[in-house]
Amino acid sequence: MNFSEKSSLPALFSWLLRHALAPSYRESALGDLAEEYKVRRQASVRDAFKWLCHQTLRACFQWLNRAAGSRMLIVCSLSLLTVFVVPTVYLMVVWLSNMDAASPALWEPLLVGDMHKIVVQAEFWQVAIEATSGSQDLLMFIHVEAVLWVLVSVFALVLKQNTMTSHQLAGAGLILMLLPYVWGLLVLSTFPPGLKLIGPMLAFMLFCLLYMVLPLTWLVLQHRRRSRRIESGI
Amino acid sequence: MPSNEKFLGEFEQVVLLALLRLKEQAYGAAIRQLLDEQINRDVAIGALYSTLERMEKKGLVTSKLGEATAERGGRAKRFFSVTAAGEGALKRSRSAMDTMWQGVSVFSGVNPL
Repeated sequence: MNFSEKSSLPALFSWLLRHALAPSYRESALGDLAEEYKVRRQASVRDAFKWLCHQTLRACFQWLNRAAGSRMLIVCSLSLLTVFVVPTVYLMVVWLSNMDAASPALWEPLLVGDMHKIVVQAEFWQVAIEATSGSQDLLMFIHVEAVLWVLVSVFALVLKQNTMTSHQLAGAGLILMLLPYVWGLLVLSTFPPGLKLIGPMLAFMLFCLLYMVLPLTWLVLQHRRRSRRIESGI
Repeated sequence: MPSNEKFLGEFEQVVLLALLRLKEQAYGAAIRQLLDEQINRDVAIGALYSTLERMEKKGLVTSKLGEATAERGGRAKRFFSVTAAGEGALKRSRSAMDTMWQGVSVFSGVNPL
């Protein structure tokens, strides 16, 4: 028998499956797929092709699930989120609380809530770090409306977590975390309020991000741990 | 029954039963086809193998490589068989389900009138 043609599957599918299937069973699985594909082709070439597409897609989704669901990736992603959000919001709050004047490059985005445009400017980091030498107290970091929003959001996530996968829970949590920010952006850019109201709105946008990141991280990791136990039959 | 003995998941049970039915011919493609024909369950090959791999690690199944064939692109079949521990786990799961089903009547949705 000539085994020089390693795969009897079309080249693109063979390549995709080779990368999507786990190494421990890759060869056996490819052989099974090649065998079944050949049998199906004898009945209908078109149906066999559709079947192969379906199997390949599912293998690719499984690979994505393995990659995205790996504990290391989730931990790294959430850690990065925490490491980025917490100090950024801290510096933003300190800067805003101690701000006397700001350059137009920082002031104009601030008026419309575009704080994400401010944090990419080097000037912000310079003035924000300088502001840390100014006055700070714990009350600066307490925002009642944001606390209420986060409590309600976390409560909703806890209630619904048993009907969700870990990815869905993380996605829902991220949406709840970002919703106040997006809402603030829309309101500030569409119906610019008076200067007195901009501050509280910016505060609400920022503190919802800050307060939500740690509970969300904890919820997703706990959910992941529980799901793993259930899958293993513990 | 010791409390540390675990019950099988639904898919694990179904796969083990397929292995028992197929006997010496229990390899990936055959298992997949049996599940499709018998219970109309179109299983992805990757999902099947990851379950078999997990059960092998738990000692519920063993595997061995067969001969390579041309229609498989020169790749060998991997044959699976249920171990004594796997049979024990199946019996426990069945017993647990039978116990829980006792006294339960499920409305079939068919109007008897």
